[in-house]
Amino acid sequence: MLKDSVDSRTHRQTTNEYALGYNDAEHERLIRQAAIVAPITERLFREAGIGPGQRVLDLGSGMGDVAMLLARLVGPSGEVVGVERDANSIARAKARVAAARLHNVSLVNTDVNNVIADEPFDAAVGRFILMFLPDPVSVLRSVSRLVRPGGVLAFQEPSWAPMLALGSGLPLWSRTRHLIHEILMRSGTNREMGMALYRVFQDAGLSAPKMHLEMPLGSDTGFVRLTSDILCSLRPLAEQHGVSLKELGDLDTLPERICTEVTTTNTVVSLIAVVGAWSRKSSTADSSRGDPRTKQRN
Amino acid sequence: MMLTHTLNRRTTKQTVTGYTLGYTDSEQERLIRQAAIIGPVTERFFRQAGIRLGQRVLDLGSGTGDVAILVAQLVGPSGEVVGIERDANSIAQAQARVAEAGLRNVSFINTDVNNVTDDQLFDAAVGRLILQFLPDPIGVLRSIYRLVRPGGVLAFQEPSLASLFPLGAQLPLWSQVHRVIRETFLRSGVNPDTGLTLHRIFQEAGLPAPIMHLEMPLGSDTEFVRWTPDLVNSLLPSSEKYNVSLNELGDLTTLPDRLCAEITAAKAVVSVVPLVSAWSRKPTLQMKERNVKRLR
Repeated sequence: MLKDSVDSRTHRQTTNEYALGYNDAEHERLIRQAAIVAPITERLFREAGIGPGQRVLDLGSGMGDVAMLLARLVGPSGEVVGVERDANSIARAKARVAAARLHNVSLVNTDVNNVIADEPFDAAVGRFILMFLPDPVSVLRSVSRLVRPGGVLAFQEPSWAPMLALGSGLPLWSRTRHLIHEILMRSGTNREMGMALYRVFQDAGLSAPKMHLEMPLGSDTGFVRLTSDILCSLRPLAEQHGVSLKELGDLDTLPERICTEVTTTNTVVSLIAVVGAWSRKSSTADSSRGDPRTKQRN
Repeated sequence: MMLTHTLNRRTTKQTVTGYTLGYTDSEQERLIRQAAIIGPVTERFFRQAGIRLGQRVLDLGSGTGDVAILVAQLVGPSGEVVGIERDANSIAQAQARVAEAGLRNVSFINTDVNNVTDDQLFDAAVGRLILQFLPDPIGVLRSIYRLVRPGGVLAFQEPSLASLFPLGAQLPLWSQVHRVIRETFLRSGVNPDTGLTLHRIFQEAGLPAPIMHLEMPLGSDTEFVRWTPDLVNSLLPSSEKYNVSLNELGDLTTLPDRLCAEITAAKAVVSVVPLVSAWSRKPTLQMKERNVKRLR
């Protein structure tokens, strides 16, 4: 049943590549980013009621950071199934899971559209994944069928708009962010998926989610570099979509020049805003068809 | 009004400036409603900054007492909260609310934040949405700093209105209202973007660079949406005084309904005040010595 419902869209979605690529530098960036975002993610999951003994599905596991965070939350009596379509990422994530001595995580090499489970999950989650999908509503709808009635759907997606609105007075930093934004836009990534979660959840037949926005702020080198490193991961896409990076000068020295700019101005800069949304699947019978007109409002 | 005066000559006493949002009953009710939504954000922040049982904490600009009450619960009966507020009526209401909550560890002093003195040091000094109203936040922070023990904490939450705008770009009426709010604040000498400047304010007041983050609760229900027209209401006298036209907003009595309709139709969520949190620890003598050695 799951497969039937998504077949019509499958071919279109699976051809869409992960905009930031799968190379080592991007993997390292993801891990560093995860360290900063982790407390925000953990808070969302706890608030959504994810805890010991639960069986949780993680969509788009990447380097496995969210899966490992979940593994600790659900404990040895719980279980995490991570889905990731890139085989190299899975290998890397598996090695990290093993190094962390977590025995309750399994990672499956498949597309988020093709997840099949014999047993329903207590929760399905994802971080920075719906933004890359051409049809997030249908993915959320099919994933919610894998969650038991009364179970949880919890997602964290970005909003670039507040970041772009802040930090004038830093010309190089601003230009870099705008170019990243431009590349992501041209490659079909939804930079405002975070705020759109409210609509996406409801269009997927779920009740209106509880939501919250958080933006880490910082001024140290590691923090500032997280943004300039996104640009490095996006270089192939910039070329593909004809976005010129010339105005940024030598890209090898860019991170350093941005850090100098931030330090001399004595200011903080922000990461993208992280928007969390969670909702509980209706506990009555099959709600996955969810008529928006009859849906519960709060 | 002396505001421009004090802005120009920062060294003069600032006790003459009024609270831009006024001290009316409706403003006090607005503050209490706002506090109910942002309370969890503030509590999490104070816990992260290390405010805990048994501590003695100074609260700047207590208003109707919500932050003082929150801190009183964090420090418990063995701790103590001293709230500073210059408006006597606000203090009366704050005291009534403290009594109602059954708290015995909170006291309020009716004075200006510039004139706080105490014979005993505090473990922490905190404030929420207060520095934005002060002509000289650095001067105030510097003098408060002296009241905190070495190793103690300074923790402030201030707004970043600029980060709110782009989130409602697809909502024309909501955007219009926020332009009016912003303009009124600016013309009244309030900096609604004080949040991000806390990084600099802390350092210029002699503190170490603070740990910071920004947070906004999001929602679409009435309590969330009404935050915006409520603010317009409290700002009315200031808007008039500084010639900010409200004509484009239409009938103000129907504004809450029209905003709700717009937000519902767009299936959007909006935020109440975006809060930037910043906290820093006052260096102990040992920490200072260590830093000096490192510099050598």
